[in-house]
Amino acid sequence: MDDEKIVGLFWQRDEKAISETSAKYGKLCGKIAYGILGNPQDSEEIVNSAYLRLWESIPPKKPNPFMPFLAKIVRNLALNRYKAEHTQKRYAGEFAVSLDELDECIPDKKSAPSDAGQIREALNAFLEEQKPESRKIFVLRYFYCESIEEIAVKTGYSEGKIKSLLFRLRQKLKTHLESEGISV
Amino acid sequence: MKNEALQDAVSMLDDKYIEEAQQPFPKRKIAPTAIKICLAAAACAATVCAVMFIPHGRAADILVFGKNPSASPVAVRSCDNEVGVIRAFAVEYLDIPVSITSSDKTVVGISGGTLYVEGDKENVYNADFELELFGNASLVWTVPLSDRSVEYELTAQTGKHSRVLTLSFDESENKWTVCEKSAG
Repeated sequence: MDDEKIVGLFWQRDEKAISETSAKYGKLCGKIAYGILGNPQDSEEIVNSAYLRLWESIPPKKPNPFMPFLAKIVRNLALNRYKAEHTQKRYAGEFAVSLDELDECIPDKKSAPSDAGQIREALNAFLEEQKPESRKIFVLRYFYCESIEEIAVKTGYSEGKIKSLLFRLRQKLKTHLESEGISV
Repeated sequence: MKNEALQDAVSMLDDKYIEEAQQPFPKRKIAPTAIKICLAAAACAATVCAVMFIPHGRAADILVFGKNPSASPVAVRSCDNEVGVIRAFAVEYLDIPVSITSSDKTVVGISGGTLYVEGDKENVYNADFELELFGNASLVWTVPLSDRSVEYELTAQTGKHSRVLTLSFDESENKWTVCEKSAG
């Protein structure tokens, strides 16, 4: 079923909307949540919460495209869970690793932190400048929290090449954020 | 945490990048590992075959009386003025200077007469022995010229390359000549 029809089901308050969403995007949602939390039970809970959040937000919203809207809900719910609980237990998900990697992108400048909107704009502008392939790899790693191995399989590159490509991207991002006057 | 501020920004990436990352990567023209292994094995086999069957190095250069017998027969003895009675009863021995030039080991054998390295008459080889040479050498091949129907051969083997010189009597020219029989 295409995304427009799924959104239509939500608008009609048809519970089939949830089953269709799950059939089409359940696996992707589960991967995003698992990438952040590294725990199958928690991930399943997050995905179910995401479906509930969808049900509550459509209508009034009419997301187009639908998939990124859903992916962001899952990611935000998982991140909130991570932040709430990571002091109590240590997660082994890819998110923890990718979080460490992003340390390298933080500008050295010591000044008042930029707001989230500024950082987002700078990040989007940075991605716009990148080649599509590099951009996709960056998003797979830091949005979808996919492992280096998974990305290597998807791209057909070696894990070493993915690692070095991501390293260069992080260095470039740091330079870009500094040039934009972003402070984190 | 500072890196979480970046992760939050990643959560708010433009929808188009989130969608783009889910598009499959263009198929790269990389041979699967199994094919790579097969190609490597084939290359190894080809190398082994080359080592075993392809002649190594190059054939020795041979000069007889300072001339190349592979270009044209070299006359080593003319019998134009020979008196019949002498030819019938005298046994004449002819010393044929053979110069061999090679960068590899060359094994020299003869089918008749004797062979020695110029200046070393102490060690004379006959048809039962082979002379091993390393590098260049000047040899003397001594052959009895009593029987014009007899052919003598000198073989020089360098690696897989073989050169065979034939000493025979040329009735039409009335001369003993050395020519190249074959080259391997």
